[in-house]
Amino acid sequence: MRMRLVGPIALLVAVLISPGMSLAQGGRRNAAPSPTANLPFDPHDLHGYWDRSNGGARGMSSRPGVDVPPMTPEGQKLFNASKPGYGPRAVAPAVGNDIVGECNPQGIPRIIFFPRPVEFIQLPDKLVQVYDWHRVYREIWTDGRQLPKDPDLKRWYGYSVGHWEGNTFVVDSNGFDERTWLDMYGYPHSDEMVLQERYTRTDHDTIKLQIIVTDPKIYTKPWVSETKTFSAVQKATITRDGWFGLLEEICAPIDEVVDFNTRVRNPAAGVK
Amino acid sequence: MKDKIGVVVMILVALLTSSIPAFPHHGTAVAYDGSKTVTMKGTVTEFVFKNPHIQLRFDVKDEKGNVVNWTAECGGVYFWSALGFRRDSLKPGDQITISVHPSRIGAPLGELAVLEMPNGKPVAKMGLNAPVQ
Repeated sequence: MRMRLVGPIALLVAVLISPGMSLAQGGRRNAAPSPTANLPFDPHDLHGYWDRSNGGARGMSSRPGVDVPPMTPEGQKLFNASKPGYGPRAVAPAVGNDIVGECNPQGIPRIIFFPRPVEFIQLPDKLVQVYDWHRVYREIWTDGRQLPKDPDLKRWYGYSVGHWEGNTFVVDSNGFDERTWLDMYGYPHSDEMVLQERYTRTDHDTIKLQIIVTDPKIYTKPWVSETKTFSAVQKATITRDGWFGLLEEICAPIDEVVDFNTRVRNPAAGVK
Repeated sequence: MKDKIGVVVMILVALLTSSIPAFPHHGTAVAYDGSKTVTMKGTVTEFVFKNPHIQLRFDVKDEKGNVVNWTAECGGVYFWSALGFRRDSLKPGDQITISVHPSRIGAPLGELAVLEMPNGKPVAKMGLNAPVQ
């Protein structure tokens, strides 16, 4: 046990005391440049393991409520009805209505904001994103197909197609289930939301992402996110017991709802 | 070797406690008072090493000698295992010193702030740098 802990702890200390290290509000870290950042890279190659833990806040904006476009009356009604577990309007799970609190799907873009690794698998006809958090598998088709006009089946993670504009991989999505929120702060969207994600690999170890939500039923103009940064995940970060790869971080109701919320989170807040 | 680990760990804890702000909008803020820290000596009764929240239960004797069973809410396995913790790193009967941000209503529940492992094992601060969903 002791020996096992020496390496990781020493590493963590080294990271913490390095000159480039600082922690901004929200726990974000401005880490020192990676030693491999200057290696050559192909800007059209996005494959690999990425993590945006240190690259932006956990919502659409840099802080909840910042840069939110004016809402329509319908949007404002839905926003007022949302009772998140996070941010300035936070309530305990039992009196809130964040469906993720019971391990329901997070949807896009919310899952992108969670600080965990995601694997990009680039194939001839699609780019697959596998999110460690909740073990979500998402297909972004690059085979030339168009988005469905009015998909009968709305999806938690929508329908997505991607294409290149110069060195930016542009992902357009629609057909979303309106029960998800844009982020954990309870910002709503409708099933008519059209989402655009713009991924640009800026060096060997970095991908920048901007997200644009267009949803006239809810927001009076498009909502452009804060720029998020993905960093390349070092192999050791996702190696456990010598086993390299994504972990299995599934939110299972039997653990989270039956056990944790009932025994811990709700009673801590005085909610039965 | 053990002493060296201790020094490293104390540096780590000093750095963490001095430089990391609490997640200002963390969901646990509803349940726990981040401005308060309660430190206790306790005996581990259960270590639930599961996602998305690790739970650590321990008995603490109050001032009247009554034993109260506390639960500390922790982050996910991802961060703990990255530091070398395993599901058997804490066992029933282990003596720990633990600091938590306590429940706002006074229930014996808290968000983990600092954990001191038994018998010279490392000290870790796992609450604030281990965000949950």
